[in-house]
Amino acid sequence: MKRTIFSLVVCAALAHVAGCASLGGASLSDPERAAEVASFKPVQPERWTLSNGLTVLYLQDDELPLVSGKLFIRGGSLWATDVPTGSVSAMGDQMRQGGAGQLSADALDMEIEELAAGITSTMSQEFGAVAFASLASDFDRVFSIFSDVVLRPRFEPERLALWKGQSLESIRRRKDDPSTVASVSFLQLIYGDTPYGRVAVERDVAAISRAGLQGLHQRLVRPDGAILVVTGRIDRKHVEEAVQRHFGSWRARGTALPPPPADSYTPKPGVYFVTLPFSQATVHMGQIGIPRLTPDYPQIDIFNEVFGSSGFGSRLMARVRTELGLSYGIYGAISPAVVKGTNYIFVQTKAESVAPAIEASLGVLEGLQDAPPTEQEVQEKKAAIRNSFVFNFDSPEEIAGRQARLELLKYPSDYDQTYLPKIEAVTPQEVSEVARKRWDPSQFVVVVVGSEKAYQSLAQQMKEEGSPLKAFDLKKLGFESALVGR
Amino acid sequence: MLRRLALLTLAAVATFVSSPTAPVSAQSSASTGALAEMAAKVRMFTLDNGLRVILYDRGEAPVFAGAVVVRVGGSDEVVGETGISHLFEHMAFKGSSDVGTNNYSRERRLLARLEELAAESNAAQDLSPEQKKEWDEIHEELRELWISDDFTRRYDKQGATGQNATTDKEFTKYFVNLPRSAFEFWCEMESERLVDPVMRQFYQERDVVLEERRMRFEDDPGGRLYELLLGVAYQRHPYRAPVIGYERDIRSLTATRLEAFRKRYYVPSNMVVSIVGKINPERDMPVIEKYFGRIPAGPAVVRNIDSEGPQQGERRVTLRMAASPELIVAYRKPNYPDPDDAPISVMAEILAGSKISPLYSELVKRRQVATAIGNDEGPGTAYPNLLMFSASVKAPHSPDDVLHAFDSVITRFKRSGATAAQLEVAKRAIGVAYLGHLQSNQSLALDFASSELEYGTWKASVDWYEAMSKVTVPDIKRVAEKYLSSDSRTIAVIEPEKQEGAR
Repeated sequence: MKRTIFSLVVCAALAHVAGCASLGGASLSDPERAAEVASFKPVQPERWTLSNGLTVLYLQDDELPLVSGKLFIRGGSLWATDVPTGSVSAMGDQMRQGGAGQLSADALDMEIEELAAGITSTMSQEFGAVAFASLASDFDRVFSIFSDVVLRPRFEPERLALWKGQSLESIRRRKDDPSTVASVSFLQLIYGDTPYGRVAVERDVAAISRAGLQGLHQRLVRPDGAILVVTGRIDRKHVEEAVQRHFGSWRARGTALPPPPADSYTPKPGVYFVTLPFSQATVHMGQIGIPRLTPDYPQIDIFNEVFGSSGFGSRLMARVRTELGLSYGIYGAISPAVVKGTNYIFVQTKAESVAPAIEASLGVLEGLQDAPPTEQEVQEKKAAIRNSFVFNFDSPEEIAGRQARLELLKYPSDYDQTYLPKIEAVTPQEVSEVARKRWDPSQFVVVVVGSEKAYQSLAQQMKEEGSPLKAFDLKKLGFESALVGR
Repeated sequence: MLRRLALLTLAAVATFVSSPTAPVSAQSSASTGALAEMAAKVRMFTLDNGLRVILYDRGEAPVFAGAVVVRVGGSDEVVGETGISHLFEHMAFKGSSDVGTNNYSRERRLLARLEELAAESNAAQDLSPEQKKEWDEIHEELRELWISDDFTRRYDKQGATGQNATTDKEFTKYFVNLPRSAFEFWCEMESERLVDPVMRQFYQERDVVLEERRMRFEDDPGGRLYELLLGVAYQRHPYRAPVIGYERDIRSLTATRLEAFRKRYYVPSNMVVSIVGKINPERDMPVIEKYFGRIPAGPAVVRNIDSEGPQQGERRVTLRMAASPELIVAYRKPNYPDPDDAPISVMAEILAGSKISPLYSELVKRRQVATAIGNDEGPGTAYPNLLMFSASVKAPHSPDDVLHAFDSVITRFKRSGATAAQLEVAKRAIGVAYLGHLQSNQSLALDFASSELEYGTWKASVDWYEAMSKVTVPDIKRVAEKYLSSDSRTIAVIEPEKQEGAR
């Protein structure tokens, strides 16, 4: 269990950055306690930049005798199209697992355990992250090992072989989990055989080599644009000296990374069925989406809340779960990404109700295209965003980490100051406009993972007059053949 | 969950605040350092109706975590009614006579008629065509009266984050994080659902829970295996039944039965309210009293639960399905406050808690028969439970290959025990992990409340941690010999089907 507190998922950390301008605690009945919220001024992280381009964000936090930190690296698999798929993720894992500096892999594991510390490293499409957590008293030693993991990974062959065995097993296990099958298939049908859609298969794993990882490390792990966050029971001078000592001479090799590649693939709409003997059908459906921070991002944020990202407050949940009892879990949103994100709806339901669940979900979307949400509904969502804003600042770690994510995503420096006023200005008509402009159900890729019974029921109901699925082709897909272009 | 998840939170502070570099065993008592500071700031009040309220003021940000914990769960259920605690937890989000409807007096009459129909039709499973027609017509009318998800939407509007509830073998826990501005709102809403919950949309929610069951158990090989394991490891004790309930039991529940269930278990003496974050006891207690004081006192909960008795011989259960092979080895063990509880947790950490542990080193690194190793204690905390080791079997090996390697490690460990160094590393790891756990207002609030309910003191975590920090090398040897016995274990495996097109 203890590892979970150190774990980090780069995508999750970066996916959702909500921000606001001021702490507008708006209580209806309790002005005194609301004033406590309104007058709260969160501390700001201190910020400095080394000559090599590495930015440090630091915030002291004396509550517990801990120090933690995270280095965000700009670079990922989008810039590594000439190596086997999965190489960048392997490189991220092996920075920590394969030994570093003077420490063999076994010695590194041993020392980290003895210090009751944690170091993790991951690389994803766009970013990498290496994190540490340590008792304040062990900071110097843990930070030194951390710098070895970042700068001098050994990539020991035995550990790479171990990683390969584990990866092959996890690839084998993909089909044990319907959500994994659905998401892998959906990703590939939406992005095709591009760096955005590729998923590693057995032969990719086999082709990954130690030399390949070393080359990737040289290319991708660079100080220019990297951000290091440090918080905990430690003073600034101590952090400054440690960072200078361990990262001061870090130099970027070669030229800076170009912009990420364009995404040229055009998905083919349709209903794609993967037959596996699960009792529920798992549906992932949607279309190719948009980049981050399009001019209508405040409208999109409100749309998402109304439509399907806010749990029980959303229309998808109200309709498909609460009123129809068709599903335990349902979610839908416009999810922007670096070049093109996805607009998607996920739902799980019993075999015989797969068509009704899809149709009800599409009905919710079309409802928002046809008519704006009520003024009251939009006001509710604005209040939710405004009143929960304080949770972006409820701990030093949260404050500094959030600042790093904003900078990493290159959000404008006045993002925080302008966000809430922009949210306040959104109108119900604009929310409906988002539904019309950003969504087109005729372009949907619908992936269904389920039993033969679910297939028969879906095939039958798709033929019925009035079904919004009538226009779609229904195609069976083997899970392996869903790996497009392979 | 490991039981130390529920118990340990507080104690770690003392150990590392007072002198972080000293070995754990050399620490002074838990009354020093930040723990003492924290303990001094925790306040507990008992309302006139018997409800206990725990308050802990901490942090800078004007936010708090609020928790209501009820001592009821799967271990209180009998076959025929399994899943009722969990289904009630779902229904506690449906609102009250004020929240979730635009005309309660009309709604109440319609809901009462639904219950009459359900009583005549085997819980609405065997509605006659005429009954079905009436059933649907009533629902047509009700849909006009219902404001779906009004309860949670009101929370959202106040800025709630992380709102949820969980049901396990012993506890039903309701929790949420809110800005301070919503403090009175929280007291009102939480007490409202305890005093006056309305069982609206019950039959839709019963279907939702059946979907949840499909997702968590039928379609999740790990979930199915765990359900089977408990059904074999426990023959008489209610731990053998899944918290979510057997499908047939879920289908047979009615709103009427849930009401009776609530009256028995949702009484003030069986609940604790806990708030961690920005809180001002002097100013805020009157507000708490005003709302939570409304809950009528009721008779204390009486439990009459069959004990399991000793296990005499190894048990084994095999799940043959189209899924990757898995292995769980579950040893019977006593539960806290038995003095062997803490040494067993430390032993599990030594054996399987890290990448330098003997099980990981041997099974994952050296023999490469498994890709991951886990350890856990459960399924509950109030009755003798299980120490479980799990392994994801790596192709082309079988669960028995892994079991063979596992047994060789266990045999060696029982013979030689742990080294002093292993012991210190394990204790330190447990302690530091919980320093991290301490950072969350929500985990603290839930720990205080469940410790108070189960052990009569919110400080149970401290006691457990003190016991943990005193565990010795001979303790580890003793509990290894006593509890890692094949006669008192249950082995559960997934064996893959060997057919074409299997998943």
